[in-house]
Amino acid sequence: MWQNGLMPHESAWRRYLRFWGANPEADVDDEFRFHLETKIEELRTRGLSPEEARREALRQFGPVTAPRAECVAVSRSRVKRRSRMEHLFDWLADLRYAVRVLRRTKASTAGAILILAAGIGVTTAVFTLLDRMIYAPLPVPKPSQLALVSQWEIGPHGERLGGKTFRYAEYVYLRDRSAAFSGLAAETTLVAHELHGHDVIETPAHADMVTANFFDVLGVRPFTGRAFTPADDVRSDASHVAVASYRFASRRYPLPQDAVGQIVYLQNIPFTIVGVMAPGFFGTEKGHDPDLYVPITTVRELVTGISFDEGAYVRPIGRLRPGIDLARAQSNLQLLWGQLLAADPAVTGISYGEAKHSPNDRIVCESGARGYVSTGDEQQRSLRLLGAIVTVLLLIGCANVACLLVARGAARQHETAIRLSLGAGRARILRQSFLESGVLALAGGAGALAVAVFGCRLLLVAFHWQKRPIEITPDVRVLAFTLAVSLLSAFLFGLAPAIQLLRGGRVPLTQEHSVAPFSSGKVLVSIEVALSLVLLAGAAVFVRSFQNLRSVPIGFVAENVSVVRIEPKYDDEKLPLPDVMQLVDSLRESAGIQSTTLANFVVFNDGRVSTSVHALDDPKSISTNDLRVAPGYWETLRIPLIAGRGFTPRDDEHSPKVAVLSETLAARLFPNRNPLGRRILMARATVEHKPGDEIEVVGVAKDTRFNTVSAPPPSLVYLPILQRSNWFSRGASLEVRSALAPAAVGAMVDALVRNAHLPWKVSPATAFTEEIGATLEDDYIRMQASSLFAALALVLIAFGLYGLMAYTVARRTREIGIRAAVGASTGRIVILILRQSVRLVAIGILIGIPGAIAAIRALSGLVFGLPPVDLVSLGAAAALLAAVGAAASFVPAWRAAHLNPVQALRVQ
Amino acid sequence: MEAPALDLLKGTLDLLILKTLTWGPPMHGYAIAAAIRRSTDEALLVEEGALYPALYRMEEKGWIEAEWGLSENKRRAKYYRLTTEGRKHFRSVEKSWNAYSSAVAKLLGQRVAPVT
Repeated sequence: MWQNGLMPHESAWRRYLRFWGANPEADVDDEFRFHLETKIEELRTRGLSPEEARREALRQFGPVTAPRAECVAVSRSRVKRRSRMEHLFDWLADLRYAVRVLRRTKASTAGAILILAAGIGVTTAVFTLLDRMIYAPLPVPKPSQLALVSQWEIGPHGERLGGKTFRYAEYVYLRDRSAAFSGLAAETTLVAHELHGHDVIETPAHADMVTANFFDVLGVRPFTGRAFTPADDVRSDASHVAVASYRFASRRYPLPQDAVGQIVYLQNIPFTIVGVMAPGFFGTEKGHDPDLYVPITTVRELVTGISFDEGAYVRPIGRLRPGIDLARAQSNLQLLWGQLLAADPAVTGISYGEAKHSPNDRIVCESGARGYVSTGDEQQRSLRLLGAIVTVLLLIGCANVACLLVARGAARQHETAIRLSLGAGRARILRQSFLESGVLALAGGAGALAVAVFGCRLLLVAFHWQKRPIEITPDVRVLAFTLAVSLLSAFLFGLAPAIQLLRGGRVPLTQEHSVAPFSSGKVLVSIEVALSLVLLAGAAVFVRSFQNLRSVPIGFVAENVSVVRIEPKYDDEKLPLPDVMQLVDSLRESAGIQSTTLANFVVFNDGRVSTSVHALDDPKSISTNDLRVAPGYWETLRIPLIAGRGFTPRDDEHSPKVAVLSETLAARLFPNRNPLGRRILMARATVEHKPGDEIEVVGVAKDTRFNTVSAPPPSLVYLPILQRSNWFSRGASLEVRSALAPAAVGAMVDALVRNAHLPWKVSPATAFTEEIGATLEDDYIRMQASSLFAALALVLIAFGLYGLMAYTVARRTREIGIRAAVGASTGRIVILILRQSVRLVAIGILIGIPGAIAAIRALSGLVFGLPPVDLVSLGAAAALLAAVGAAASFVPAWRAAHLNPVQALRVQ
Repeated sequence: MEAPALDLLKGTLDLLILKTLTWGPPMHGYAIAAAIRRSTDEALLVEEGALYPALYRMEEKGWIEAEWGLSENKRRAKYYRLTTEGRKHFRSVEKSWNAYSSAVAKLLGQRVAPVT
C-alpha cells in the first residue's frame, strides 16, 4: 500500500498504546519508513527530483511485503516469549516474597507447618493402609480385566446368604467351556506348610496351590527361572515344582536367583523351586504374600484329611476377553453351570451324591482389579472410620491454620493497603496470598510424608498387622494423594486470609491500626468448634460403648486365670490324653495353683466348634457350640452349676456318655422340663444311632458369653474331654486359676513338660482377661483412635481460641484500659472477655449439633449398649468443649484484667 | 549503469552485517546498508529490504541488540549494536569463511588438475 505514496504517519494514540506493550507491526513500519525517507533525502541532495528519488529508493530497497512480514513474525514470537518469561519472573518474585513473609513470621509459620504435617500425615497414613489393604489395584498388567468368580446362595429377596468356592472338576468344566475369558485360573483356599521330618525351621514357608495358567492369566512373568507350564497341572511326580515369591527367595537364600533348583519340603514332600516371581507380586490377596506357589493338583498329597476332589476349595480368577464385561461373563458361566448340574455325572466326572447344589446358587463375577481383600469387615470398617476421623481432624487443622494466617494478615493489613494504593492488582494480591498458603501446605505435605510412615507403623501395630507383608513406603499413589490433599488444604485454609486481604484493602491508609473486625477469625473458630464437637461426640460414643462392653457380665471370673496352650511339636503327631491329664494333675498340686482344668479350646479365643443336638424324644435339632472340657472346668472358671453335677475323672471312655448343658440350651431342648437324666443325641449320630451314642444330661451350668462380649450367651454343650478316645491332634488349652502371673504359670508348665520329656510345644501363657480383651480389639482400636484424635482436636481448639482471644485482647487494650480507669473490677473485665469466647463456643456447638447427631447415628451400628442417638455422649462432648474453650480463653482474659490502665491508655 | 550483481551466498549477509557492526558504534539499518554498499564498492548488491529480516533474526539469536534512538536527522530510528556473543560468533564465522574462501581461491587458481 505505501509503496505508492509516502508512508502514513503513525497516529499519536498508537504510540501511546505502545506504553503497555510492544506493537511489532508499528515498529517494523517505523523502521522501514525511516530507511526509505532517509534514502530519499540523500538521493535528493544528489539532485534527483522527489519523484525520481522516491522511485530509486524503493528500487534499492527491493520488495517490501515479504521482509516486513518476516520481521513482524520474528518480533512477535520474541514478544510472546518475553511475556511468558516476565510472567514466570512475576511468579518467582511472588514465591520469593511468600517465602520471605513466611520466614519473617517464624512462630506462626512453624505452627502452621506442624499442624499441617500432622494433619496431612495421619490422613496419608490411613489412606496408605486403606489403599494397600482395600483399594489399590493388583500390581499386574490391566488389572481391570480380572474377574473373581464365586457362587452364592441367593435368598428370596436377592440377598447373598453365603459364598461358596468350587470343586476342582467344576472349575475345569467351566474353564474348558467358557468363551468369556481369555484365561480362567484358580487357586485353592488351602495352605500347605513347610515341614521336613523333625527339622526345626525358622519361619517355615507356606505355599498356595494354583493352576498352571495362574501366572499367565494374571499376566506376570517370573523374575528368574520359569513359571508353570500346562504339564504341571497333570498330576505326576514332575509336578512337585514350586515357584517362589521374590520376598521368600531373598529371605531364604543369599540371592533371590539362588532359589532356583533348591528343594523345599512341604508336608515332607520335596518340591523343587523352578522360578522366582518378580518383586512386588503377591498373588491375588491383599495383605498376604505366599512364599511358594505349587501346582494345584498337589493338594491331594499336601493337604490330608480333606477330599480335594469332592470338597469345594477352589476359587477361580479369570481375565475377561476384550469387549466382554462382568455381566456377560457371569451369564455365560451361569449358563454353563446349569448345563453342568444337568449333565450326566458319567460325562462330567463329577458326582454329587447327597451334596447336590442348591437351585438358589448363582455364579457371581466381580471385578478382580483389586484382588481379594482379606481384611476383615470389622477392620475395614475401623479403617474407614479412621479415614473419616482424620479427615475431620485435617479440616479442623485447616481452620486452625487459617486462623493463624488471618491473625497474621490482620497485622499486615497496613502493608496490603499500601500495596493496593501503589497499584498492585487485587488479583496479584490474591495470588500472593494463595501462594503463601501453597508454600505452607507443600512444606506441611513434605513433613506429612515422614509423619505418614511413622503413623503407618503405629497403625500396623494397632491392627496387629506388623507381620503382614504390607509395603508402607509411599508410592506414586500415596504421593499423589498427599500432594492433592496438601493443595486442597492450601485452598481451604487460604480462603479466609484471601478474603480478609481483599476486605482489608478498603481500610483507609490513614488509619494506623485497622479497626476491621476480626470476623473471619470468629467464623473459623466457630467452625472448628462445630467440627470438634462431631469428633468428640464420636469419641464419647466409642468410649461409652467400650465401657459397656467391659462391664457386661460374662458369666465367669476371668481374673487370675492363666491360659497355656500345649501342642505336639510336629504337625503330624497327637497329644496322648493320659500324659496331658497327668500334667494337669501335677500342675494342680503345685504350689500357688488353686485349680487347673483343660479344654480343647479357650472360649473367647478364635476357636469354635459348632454342632447340633436334639433330645432323644424330639427329633428337632438345635444348633449349638460344643466344648470338650476336663473335670474341674466350672470350678476353675467359677461358672455356677445350676443343677446336677460337673464331670469327674470317672467320666471317661469306659463309662456312659454324659454332658452338661448351658442354661439356654437346656431351656431350648427341654422347655419346662427338668433336663437332668434326660438323653440327647449329637447330630452325627442321628441317622442311625446306637445305644452308645446316647448322652445323658448330668448337669446344667449357668450361661456364659462365648466368643464375643457383645453377643448374648449362645447354646453350649459341654462334653467330657476324657470320653473322646480319638482326641485332638492340634493341642489343648490349660486353664489355671492362680494368683501367680501368667508368665510364672507358663514357666511351671514348661518345667513340668520338660521334666516329663514330653515332645510338646508350650505357647507363652496369657491371662484369660487378655484373651477376652483380644476379642474387643476392634472396639478398643476405635475407642483409642477416636479418643486420641478427639484429644488432638481439643488441643487445636485450645490453641485457636487462645490465639483469637489473645488477639482480641490486644486489639481492645485501649478500651480495656478505659474501663479499668473508670473503675471496672478485675472480675468484670475477665467476664467481658470470657463472654465473647463463650459465645463463640456456644455458636460452634449449636452449629455442630446436627452433624454430631448424624455422626452418632451413623456409628450406632458399631457400638454396644447405647441408644441410636446417645445424648449423654453428645452432652459430654459439648461440656468438654465448653470447658476447654473457657480454659483456653481464661489466660488472655486474666491478662486483660491485670493490664496497667495507664500503660493501656497509651497504646494507640 | 547496473552494477554487476553477485548473488549473496547464504549466510553471507549475516556476516557482512556483523562485520559492519564490529566497527563500533550502534548503527541503524540504513547506515548498515550504506556501509555495506560502500565497503564492497557496490559489488555486492544487497536488496536493502532483505537486510531487516536478517537483523531481526540475529537480534532474536542474541548476536545483536537493538534500541530506539534519534538519528542525525532527528528521526526515531532503531539502532543495532553487536553483543559479546555476536562478536564471538562473528570471529568464528569469519575464520571459517576465510578458510573456505582461500580454499576456493586456491582451487580456482590452479592450472592443472591436482594429482591424487
